[in-house]
Amino acid sequence: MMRLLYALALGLTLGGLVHIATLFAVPLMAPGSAYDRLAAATPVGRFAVLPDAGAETLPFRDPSFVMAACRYDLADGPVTIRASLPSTYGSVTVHNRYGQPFYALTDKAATNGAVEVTVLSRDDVAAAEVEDAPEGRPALRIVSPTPTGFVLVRLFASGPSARPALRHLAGKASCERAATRQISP
Amino acid sequence: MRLMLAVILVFGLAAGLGLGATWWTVAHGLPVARLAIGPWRAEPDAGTLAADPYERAGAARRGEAPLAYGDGLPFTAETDDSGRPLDLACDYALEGRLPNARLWSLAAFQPSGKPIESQGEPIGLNSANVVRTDDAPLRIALSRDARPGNWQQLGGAGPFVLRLTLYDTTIGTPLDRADPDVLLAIRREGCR
Repeated sequence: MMRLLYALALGLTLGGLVHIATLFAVPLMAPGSAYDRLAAATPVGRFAVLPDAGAETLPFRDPSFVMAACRYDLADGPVTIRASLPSTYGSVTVHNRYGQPFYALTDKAATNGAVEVTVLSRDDVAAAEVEDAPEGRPALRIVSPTPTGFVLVRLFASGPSARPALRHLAGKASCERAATRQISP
Repeated sequence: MRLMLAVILVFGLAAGLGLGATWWTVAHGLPVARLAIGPWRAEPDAGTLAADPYERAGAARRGEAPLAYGDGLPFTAETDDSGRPLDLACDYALEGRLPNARLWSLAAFQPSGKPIESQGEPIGLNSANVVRTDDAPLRIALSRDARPGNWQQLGGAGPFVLRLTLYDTTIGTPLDRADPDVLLAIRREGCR
């Protein structure tokens, strides 16, 4: 009897460990995560406007918004995101490899209707500090927790008639490799 | 022999419980939500890096990119006010006053995340296209047959979920001293 109780307690404890381990493994192993879905629809380093219909690209997308997505890869250096956000409502959000957002800007933060953010990896932070531009507007830099990830530009469409212009505007957003300056010795 | 049985019992129990609990919580989420207002559930943490492992795993499983908390807060309803699952074969009347937000939107999805279409367009009501009446709460009809006012057509059969997203809201922050006790009441009318 004691032995059975002991086996049950051991089984419960191990079950808890299995639960915790598998739970943490789900984001790493889930097929069809947000990044994988975007990988099928968008290239790296360029914004693509997602089609209005269809859940294949991203599920639970708010149909009142026009959305453009760009995947980034920081292996080749920092990436600069530029997007125009109309004052109706627009946002730029930066997501890590597992889809979790780690930075968001709405049109309230826009200067002259546009926002500019540079995403860099942990290794590039020191280099970026050195080559800070002495002139121009202050650059906004954020560190990505993962070397790859994606950026979403979401623009609110008050009605179907507003969509074509917003799709055009969202498609004009860019997420190119940041221009690097030569550091003279 | 007894030892073998005990070992099989221990490992079987561990695998069954552990994997079962992971499967259930990833598919359904934790049974408690941080914000529960009527049938509406929201997790303000889910759109931040402080999301708990259950929220992360659930979002990865659905293939969803969660809405950043600085952007908006989505509320999901899977049942009506009396706890019955939402069904496309039924008519629903939504009524209530929405809390302060710069913008809100209401959308209907299949459980997989595919938008539900109404006359070829996805169901998408928002604060810019909704019709309001003076001195009356907001009313939205989701039904098969046309209704006056805010109407979106439902068709087919099977479960669906409603998402009400508040953009630029103070709900869920310490600034909002008391969470509202009602968002939109979901009342089921007839079913076919």
